[in-house]
Amino acid sequence: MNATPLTPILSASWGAPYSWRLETYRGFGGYTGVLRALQLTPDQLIGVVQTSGLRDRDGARFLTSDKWSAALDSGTGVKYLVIDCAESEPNACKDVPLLLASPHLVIEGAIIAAYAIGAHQVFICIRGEALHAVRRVQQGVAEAYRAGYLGERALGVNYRIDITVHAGAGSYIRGEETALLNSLLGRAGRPSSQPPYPVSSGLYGEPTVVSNCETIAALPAIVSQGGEWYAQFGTANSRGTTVYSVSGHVQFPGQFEAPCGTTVRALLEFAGGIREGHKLKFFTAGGLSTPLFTEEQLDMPLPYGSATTAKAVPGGNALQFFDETTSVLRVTRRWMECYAAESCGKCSPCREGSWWLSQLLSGLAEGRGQEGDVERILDICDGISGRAFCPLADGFVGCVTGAIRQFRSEFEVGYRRAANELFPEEQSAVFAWNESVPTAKSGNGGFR
Amino acid sequence: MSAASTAPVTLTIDGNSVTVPPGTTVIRAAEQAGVFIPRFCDHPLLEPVGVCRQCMVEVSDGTDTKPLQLQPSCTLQVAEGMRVATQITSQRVAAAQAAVLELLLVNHPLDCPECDKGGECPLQNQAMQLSRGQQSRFAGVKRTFEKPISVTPTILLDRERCILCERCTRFAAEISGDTLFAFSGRGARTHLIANPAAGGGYFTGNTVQLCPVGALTSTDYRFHARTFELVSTESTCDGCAAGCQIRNDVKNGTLLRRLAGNDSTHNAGWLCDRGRYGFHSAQGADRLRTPLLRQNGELVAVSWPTALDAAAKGLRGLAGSQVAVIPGGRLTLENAYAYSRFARMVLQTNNIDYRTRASSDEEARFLMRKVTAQPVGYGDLEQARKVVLLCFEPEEESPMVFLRLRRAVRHHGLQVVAVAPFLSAGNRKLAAQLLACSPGNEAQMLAMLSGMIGKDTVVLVGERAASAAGTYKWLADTVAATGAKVAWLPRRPGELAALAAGCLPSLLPGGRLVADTAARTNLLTAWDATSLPTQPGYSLNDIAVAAATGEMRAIITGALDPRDLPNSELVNSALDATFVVSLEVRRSAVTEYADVVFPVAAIEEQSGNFIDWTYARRPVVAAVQRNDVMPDVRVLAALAEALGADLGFQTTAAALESYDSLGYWRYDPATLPAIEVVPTISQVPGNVIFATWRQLLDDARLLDGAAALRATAAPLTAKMSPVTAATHGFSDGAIAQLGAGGARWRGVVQIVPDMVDGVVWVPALSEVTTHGHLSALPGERVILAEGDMR
Repeated sequence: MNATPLTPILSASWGAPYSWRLETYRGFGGYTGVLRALQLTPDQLIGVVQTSGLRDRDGARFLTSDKWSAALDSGTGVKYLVIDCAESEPNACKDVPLLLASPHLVIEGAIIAAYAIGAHQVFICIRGEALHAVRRVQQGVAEAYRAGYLGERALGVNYRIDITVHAGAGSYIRGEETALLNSLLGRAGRPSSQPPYPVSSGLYGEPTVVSNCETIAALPAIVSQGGEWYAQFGTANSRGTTVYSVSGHVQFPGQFEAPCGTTVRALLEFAGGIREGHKLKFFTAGGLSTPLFTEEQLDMPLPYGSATTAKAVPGGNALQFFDETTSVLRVTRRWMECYAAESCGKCSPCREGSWWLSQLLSGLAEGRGQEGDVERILDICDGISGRAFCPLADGFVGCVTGAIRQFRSEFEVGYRRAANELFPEEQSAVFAWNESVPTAKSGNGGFR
Repeated sequence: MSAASTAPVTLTIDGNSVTVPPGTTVIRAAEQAGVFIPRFCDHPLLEPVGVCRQCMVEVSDGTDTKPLQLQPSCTLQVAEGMRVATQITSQRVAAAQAAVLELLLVNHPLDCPECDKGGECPLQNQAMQLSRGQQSRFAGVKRTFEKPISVTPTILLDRERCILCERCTRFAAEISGDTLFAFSGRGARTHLIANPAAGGGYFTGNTVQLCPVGALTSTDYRFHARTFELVSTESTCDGCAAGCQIRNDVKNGTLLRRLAGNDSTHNAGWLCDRGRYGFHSAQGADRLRTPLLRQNGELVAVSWPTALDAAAKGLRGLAGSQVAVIPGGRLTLENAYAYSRFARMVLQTNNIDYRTRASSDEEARFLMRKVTAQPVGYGDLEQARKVVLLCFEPEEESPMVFLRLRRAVRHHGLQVVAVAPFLSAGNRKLAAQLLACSPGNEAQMLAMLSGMIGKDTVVLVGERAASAAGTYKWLADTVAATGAKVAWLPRRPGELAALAAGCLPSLLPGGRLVADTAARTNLLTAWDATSLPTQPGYSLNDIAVAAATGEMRAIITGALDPRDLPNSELVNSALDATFVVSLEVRRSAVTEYADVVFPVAAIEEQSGNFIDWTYARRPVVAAVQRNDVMPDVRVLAALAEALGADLGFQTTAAALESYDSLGYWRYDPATLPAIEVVPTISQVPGNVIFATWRQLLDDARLLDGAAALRATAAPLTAKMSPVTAATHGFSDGAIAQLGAGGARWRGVVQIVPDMVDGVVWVPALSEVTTHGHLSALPGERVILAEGDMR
């Protein structure tokens, strides 16, 4: 497949001065989609979204219109719309730039979605660490209230919509729907058993639609330009455009909005290729929770591994490229320490497994490994896989086993030698290397 | 639910077919099929959470179209045709369980030899069972915490032992409603935190018993024994009339620990902290071990024959109105029956009253009807649509009834209505509706209540109704006609047995009325007696009055604490004026007046039966064997012999046999003496109305020795409405003083918004800074004044 041109729809206004302001947004045609949406019935509106083929920009990738129909069918009682901006995948970086550059896109989309499902109260949940994004959205919501876009008789229509911006304590698992709702309710951000599913019994026990920030942001354009227009982008199983995050050993890391189904090779070219004088060793697509890929998979379209399969590569559209200076062992160990810190602690395989694996990987990375540790790691992964409460543990098991499968010898070296001896850290750094930069201490999984 | 969903579901577990109700979880179905699936977080009485992941099984939907999945059996509900393979038939399941266990042990310390749970620890047991001798491969660094930390004065927490099963947090949320525990942190650093400031509540000890590891331990028992040193006996709790099954654990003849029994009709695995920790009263230095005889004004230890002769000498020749028996409300059926028969046959008197608390004639006549009335049980509480609490605080006076009510509120939508001066913390947890009423005025609420009561209502009336004139009459006359069920819930464990044994002045054993010649003659024949007293005897108050006039010459007392009585001064002077024979476990206020003291066995040292509030006979089994003390039955039999009479039995077993041979004497309620309402409250000057009741943890003598337990009691406050506080110039936290007669009670003011005006509530028998015991009755006027800290 040839390189696909960039298609800035969500990101159209990002480069404009003061892009986050309401007047700038209006200059780009902002708040025209919502006016059109409010002239339609909720059923007609869902029809438009159905035509667009929009799928939720999260792990499960349900058809957005299916989820809305379920919520609309749940009756006329109280319903909630919760917008998930709890982006936690370490390589992913699309929600925060989107919220910073164009908060009104999400606010306008929120009004459309709330109207479609019959909700009057919207919660925009942003991880509290992204304080700059929280403030930006709070300002945006205040602007929208002042402009009469929110509140009683918003936009001149007899339909009340209120938006609350919620800064939650961030954690990886807060991206999971039930964990997000628990966090919103002031409880620990831990997942709950399903069923009941949030769409039938979510926030305060009422039907709740949880939608990713990017899904919501796509709505204004879909409504103002039409479902058919949106459906022209992308592939049969994934319509529209999406924001890809590209990072790592590339010339120009950043966010690239392109049609769904864009190949990794094209995205790498957008980013100017691997940095000068180096060559690709491996990459991740869709955040950490996927196996490692190598050059052979460069023509893989994203977010789906192929143009036809309905099973998405889990995680976001986050690509990270690594060149030949990188130690897979060191990277895997860092990721594992991230998982150990991000595990919510609810179920034993994830909680204890991440603790144990990060200790074993630290040992190998520092050349303190014991003969047989690699088999032990694989065996422990086998004991965790499929046993945990939520998909987080399966994510790190996939990450660790995938890395070992492809680069086993690098791990086995850890019985005798530290990873830094083969892959000096300063060579893979993309910034001026400073020995004094603190790194995670070994031995206890990075906890002190 | 649709009709189809109630049809039983048949599935196979390890190839064996089992049929269970729909909605059953696989782990419960497996138990019914005789298969134990290892588990830690699962508990049959708590909602499933599926966090330990130990109970994984292999599940097929029966169609075999999908690959077999491993699923937690505790959260998975059964489905028709489901095929389940457990660790018994599936290598994959066995391997999965072994893997989870190894992970659970990663951060669990290897301190079993010094851990209280060692020997009875689910984690230890299942580790031994599943690991098949293999060692953990974990050689890294375990998490550590400062240890132990104090959760409440009764509970310590060793966080590194915790496997985060959420049993304690679920217990607090689902069962007791006290938010004591929560989790903090994440990943392997997740740990239990406690919020004792929220008030631990009365049920915290259950979390220790629930804990599948040794993370939560009791200060009371910590490091006191290894499990293999304990001899365990199932018995019945003597804390209240709830009839909870308990397990007494004894090491070297000392009762060290009490655990909740699992009797599903009663406490079903739970126990309140009073029952669990309040068993030390007979272990103190004031324990009586030999008879005592007053010689030259001093009590001296004497031999049994000497004491018996002295008691017989003092009692000989006295009969009828000259002698009385006060057995107390904490006796087993056998002991109560012995007192009853001793009074009637040996002393020829009906002067017997077990009600060592505020009581009334109205109550006595109500109780005559209750002896043979249709019992109300725990199940009725769950089936009722409405429960009315009348002069009764379930959490304070019968904690297990409280838990059952809370369960009914949560699961069956039970509506609770409380007639009280304010909505207590316990009733708040029952989401009760308050019919605010100043004490003594309950009768005025009854007309309104009558309209709220129907066939599906249960009225729970507490012993405090004795001082709310008109309540019992209303219950017997009006409520009976509505078809509502009425249960009488006294606080003490022996009240219903004493009632059945006829320890009342006008009531004989088995519901026979003293005034009924036929019933009396029947008893005379059954007892093979020559004569029985024909006139109704004196109530406790009348006994005291008769002593003051000199008519009463001798009194035999069982467990009697004058502080329990509204007229304690009168009773004290009655004891002072008469020849007193005291049967007691330990030295008491009565001992100071006694002429002869006989030591008797504590409840853990004897066997017998309690009768609980549901009229169920609850077995008491001796956990500690002693040869220096005897139960009351034996002492009374010996005393009868010394008096030249025959009690008819020498042992508790023979006493029970004698009692059972009598049978019940059933009356048509219409033929029973009508209930008359006599005001019990005296008109004394004062500026506020006094409200009070006993809290679960107070200065009761039975809690002596349980200092840690007492330290968990809620702060003592004087509660009043905002208007009352303003009228008397008090703000929240001010010091108030309450005076009645010569006594004063001093404490901190707590303003309660929903309280009735003109009323002050203070806890009964809880004396923080007191000069004497406030003996006013609820509803009487007392004097509220500004207090000082002296």
